[in-house]
Amino acid sequence: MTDKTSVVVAQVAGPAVEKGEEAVTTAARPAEPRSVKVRLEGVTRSYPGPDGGAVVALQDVDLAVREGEFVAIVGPSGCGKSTLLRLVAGLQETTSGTIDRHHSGSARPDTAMVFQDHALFPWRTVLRNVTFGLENRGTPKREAWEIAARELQKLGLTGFASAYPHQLSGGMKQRVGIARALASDAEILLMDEPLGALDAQTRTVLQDQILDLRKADPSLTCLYVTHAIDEAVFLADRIILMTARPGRVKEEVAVDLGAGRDSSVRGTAAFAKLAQDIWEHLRSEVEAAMQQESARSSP
Amino acid sequence: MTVTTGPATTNEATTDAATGTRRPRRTTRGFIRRHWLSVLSPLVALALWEFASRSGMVSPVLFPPPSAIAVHAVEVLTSEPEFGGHIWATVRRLLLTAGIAAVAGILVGTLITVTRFVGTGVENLLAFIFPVPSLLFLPMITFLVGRTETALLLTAAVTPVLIMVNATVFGMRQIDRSLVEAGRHYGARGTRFFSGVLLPGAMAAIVPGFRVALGFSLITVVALEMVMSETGLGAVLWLSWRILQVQDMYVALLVVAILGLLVTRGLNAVMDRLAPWQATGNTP
Amino acid sequence: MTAVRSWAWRIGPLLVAALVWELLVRTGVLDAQFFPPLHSILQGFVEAFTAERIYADIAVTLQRLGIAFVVAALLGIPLAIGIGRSQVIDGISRPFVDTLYPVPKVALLPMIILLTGAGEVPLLLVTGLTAFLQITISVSGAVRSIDTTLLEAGSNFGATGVRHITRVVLPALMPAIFSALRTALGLCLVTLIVVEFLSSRTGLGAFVAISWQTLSVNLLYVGVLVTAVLGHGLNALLRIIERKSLPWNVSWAGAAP
Ligand SMILES: Nc1ncnc2c1ncn2[C@@H]1O[C@H](COP(=O)(O)OP(=O)(O)O)[C@@H](O)[C@H]1O
Ligand SMILES: [Mg+2]
Repeated sequence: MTDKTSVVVAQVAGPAVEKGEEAVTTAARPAEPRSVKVRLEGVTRSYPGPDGGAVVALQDVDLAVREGEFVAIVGPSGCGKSTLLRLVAGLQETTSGTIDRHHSGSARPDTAMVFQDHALFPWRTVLRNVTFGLENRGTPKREAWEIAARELQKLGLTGFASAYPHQLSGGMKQRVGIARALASDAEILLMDEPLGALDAQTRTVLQDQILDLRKADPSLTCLYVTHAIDEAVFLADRIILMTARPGRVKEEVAVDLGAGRDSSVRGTAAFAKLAQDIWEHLRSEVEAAMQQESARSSP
Repeated sequence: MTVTTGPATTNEATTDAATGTRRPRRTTRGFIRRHWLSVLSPLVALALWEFASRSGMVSPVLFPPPSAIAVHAVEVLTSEPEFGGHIWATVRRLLLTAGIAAVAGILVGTLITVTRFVGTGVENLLAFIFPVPSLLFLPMITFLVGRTETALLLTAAVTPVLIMVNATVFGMRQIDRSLVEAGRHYGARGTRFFSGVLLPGAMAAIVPGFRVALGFSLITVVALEMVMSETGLGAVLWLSWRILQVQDMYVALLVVAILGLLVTRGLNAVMDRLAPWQATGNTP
Repeated sequence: MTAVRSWAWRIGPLLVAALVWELLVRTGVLDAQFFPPLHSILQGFVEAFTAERIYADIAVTLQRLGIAFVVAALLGIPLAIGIGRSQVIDGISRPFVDTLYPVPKVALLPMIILLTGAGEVPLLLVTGLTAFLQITISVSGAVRSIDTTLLEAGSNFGATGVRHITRVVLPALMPAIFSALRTALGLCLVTLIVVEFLSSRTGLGAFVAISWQTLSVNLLYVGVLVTAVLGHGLNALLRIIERKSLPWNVSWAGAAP
């Protein structure tokens, strides 16, 4: 299923988008020439609106994600973050613009998505949810089980392989969703507010786990949607800030907290400063989004 | 704090604190203590009938006392293999009809779901004939296949098939959109998508639909046996009434009633087997 | 706009089906003696409605249905509320309701004829029993699942006794009652047509049976089609009544008429 990927290796050196009118931190990119995994150019997506018109969810988005990069996307709700991920996943088509997925040519699938509402199959056990993608690719059963067991262990779910999703807590379901995505060993991991529905403590623990996953596999490429700024700062190399609808790229912020950061980074001044700066930039967009909401529901 | 529970589980179930599951308490004495009215009221009714019949208040020929019917039932069921044959004929028809309904219904339902335009057309056409009782299709079907066993089965299957189509379509349409997407995203296509996502996702509607379909099958099979068959409980019911073999009629009625109970009760057990993930509902 | 489209979606498939039928008959795939071409079925309609036979049958069926259904609802709804609210009523009636409910009601026809003699009464009893049991089962289930906070709010604000039933329980139940009535009406019609087919000389079921026996093939199809239309008409009627009487109910809001 790699026929849709066009080769864009030639353009690898091209800089990431610099669209912000007043960039907070101009990204001081490390010079290592890592290959671009996915590149969005002028991507626009609109939906049929309520009264025959069109709702433009995303407008003219340019974005490139390199191998091993962890890019977080932050923006007010309804600004098209999920839409962006779904376009990258190929679940939807763009209205205009192109998305190039650069595939290494192996048998690995392009993308694996962790869905916002976990989207676990209630009729499958935890283990069989994790092996689902592998089964569809014809991976031998034994091998699929071994892979799944490994991923479940990574996420601390070993004892729950034969449980059904309804028997799990929200945090555990989300971890199964992550295990399912990791098991399919895709080129790009897509995560859509994976921790959005969880309580604060569970979220903190899972953030640490995701950071551990990153450290364990430096080649992991990830596009991570969240509405929590601290989460983005904690996890990402780079944060894309989006405007209220129609969603565009407002700013791009490099996170220079070091690759070896750990849980304790949350307490540092640099962390707080960065989060605060980002919030200052995002506030006006969130307010705009809230106004859109009330304008729509007031008539 | 009070716990609200579904129908009829209030008294019979205790909550197992360790697992959070409900378990019926199974002691006969406990059952009688809690449901003595439900035990008593049918006994009173039977006693009244017995008395009315024996005292001649109602005709003992037309309404023999329940004890006599019970004796006759034991006699017939143990010593007349012919009667066993009638029971088997009805059960066999019931199973075949239900089988046709399940296979055809799920097949057509799936096609309706996955093909947009033609599907909606077929769906609306089927919706049009839905209120027509299966029995009215008997003439048409006999024109095609004659007055045969096949005609009986096909006729009995009409409404059950439509019920299964509806259940399947409804079940498949209400599958969470994100589950459908997750299925496609992780590479399920064609029959794999059907067997891995659509069918299990729709099971929650298909299984109750099947129970309703079975109920309708039983109604139509019995009615058709009355109309056109020499075998089966419906035929016994009809013929023994005609020749006033009243006791045979009551025994047949009793067996039909038991079949009806099995159809509804037995399926609950099957349902738990087929959909264990729904043991406590799939929403938190 | 959307109303037109939804009607087109309902009528369109029927026209296509009629066309396919005509094609199958003309090409001889279906035997024209038993599967007459459209124009003769239309002729059948004219015949049925001008010779006035079918009016009487429709009227008889509607009358039986009306009597059986109304009586069943008037008895079933109070009993269901009783079952849902009182353990004694529940205990006494449950064994009968639970045993009779799954029994195919046609199977009771011979016994009921013995009980009451042939004629109208057995038809009404079998049909009414079907509706009665369906209404009792569905509504009593609904009574138990009424939102308890609603009931508590009712008593808290002084609705007790009869008022509690008429001002809190019944209104809370209305959507479930209507849904039960619609299911019951459908079942009721099916049962009535079947028993008419089996053991009556009048009514739509008998109309079809007699048309079949006399091989009046055109009339046979007319009978089947009229039954379908009748079923939809009655269902639509109940829906309209429901919408008029429960304007607050959201279950149908936004749905096409
Ligand atoms: N399938 C759809 N049909 C119509 N509108 C949609 C659809 N999906 C999303 N939208 C609209 O597009 C906008 C962006 O949605 P989404 O990508 O889900 O935002 P986010 O994930 O950032 O909250 C919203 O206004 C939403 O209403
Ligand atoms: Mg979203």
